Amino acid sequence: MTNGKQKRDDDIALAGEFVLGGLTAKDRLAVQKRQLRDPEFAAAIADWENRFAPLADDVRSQTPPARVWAKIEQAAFADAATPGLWNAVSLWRWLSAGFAAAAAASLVALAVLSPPAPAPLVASLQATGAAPAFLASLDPASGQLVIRAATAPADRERVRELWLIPGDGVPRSLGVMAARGATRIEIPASLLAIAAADTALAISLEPAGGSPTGKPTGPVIALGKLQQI
Amino acid sequence: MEEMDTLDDLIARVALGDRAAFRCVYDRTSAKLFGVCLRILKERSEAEDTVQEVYTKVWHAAGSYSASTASAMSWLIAIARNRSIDRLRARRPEAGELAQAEGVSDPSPSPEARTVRSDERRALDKCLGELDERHAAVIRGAYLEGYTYEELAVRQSVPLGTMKSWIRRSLIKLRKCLER
Repeated sequence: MTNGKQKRDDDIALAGEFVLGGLTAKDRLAVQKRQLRDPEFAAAIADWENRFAPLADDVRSQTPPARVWAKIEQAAFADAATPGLWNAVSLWRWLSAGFAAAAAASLVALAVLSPPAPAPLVASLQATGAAPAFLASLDPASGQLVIRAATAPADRERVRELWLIPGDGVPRSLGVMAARGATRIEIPASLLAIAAADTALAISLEPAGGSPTGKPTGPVIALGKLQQI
Repeated sequence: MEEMDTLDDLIARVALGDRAAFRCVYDRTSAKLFGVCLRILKERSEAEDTVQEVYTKVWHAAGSYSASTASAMSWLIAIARNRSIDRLRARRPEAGELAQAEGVSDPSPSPEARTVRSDERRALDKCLGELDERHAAVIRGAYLEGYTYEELAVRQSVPLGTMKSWIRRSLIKLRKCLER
């Protein structure tokens, strides 16, 4: 056995031991620290977590008492007043995870919608659920953004509000979308300045007239990044 | 929230601060995660506290979940098990006492689990089946009950060193089998 292979086996075994849970508190802590700085080792742990997870089928499900949710709400939403919920880091990680392909797939359709030069920015807003996707194109020269939805909103009580989310993770409202067809929005110069490639667009469901707070309050139904064609 | 939304979709929305999606994740998964915590901690109020910590963490860390490395359910189970085991080890820093609550343990799969066997589970069962029977039992006991090596060694009446080497060798064999 070569040293490299021995080390790999050692790491795989240690990752597995950590996931099984048999290690002492001290050894667990050492593994958790290494997990943070060694991506390959972290991947070995994630792999074991996936492999063993089906064993949890053998655990009897038990509904927790209602007070548990009440406490979770209290603890999780305590900081809800701040826009930190649209946390920039988590948003960017999530966006980079799987959206490039989806955006690329719709470029042909978008080229038709897009005005000619200078280099328009486009975004395919991937639906986060079963809702249809949206296509947007932005002409940076005129600040005109066109967004089109495949269908009318399923929810008649609420409207679809479009948000621009630049690198700071704070959503800026671009306005409420028309119920059907294309919506044209003139983006103000102050926002246009930050609407570069890789800026995110998101759509949330809001009460009639748009979000009362100036921040998204309803569920996010679609999300995508502006990209250069 | 629509029934057909996958757990992946819902967690993506939780990452954006969508509370309705968060509630939906909780409704779909909390019974399983509470079961997992309870099985390891064997104590209701502590399991309740742990589940609360788990979902608070899910709310804040949903952005770090990436569908490319784990299934959403595996990710949630891993958080629940990690929190439970950390708590268990903190409660019993000097391991070695046998778990007192043998009555809580539930070794046979629930009827629901017996009927729904995922491909992943079948692959794991097949590879566990290639191990020595006692070794496979040790692996399952460690995963489901959170036993320490010392506890496992006492249960199987073997020296601690032997237990460690059983587990190590079993893991390497399992890995090879699962990669086939």
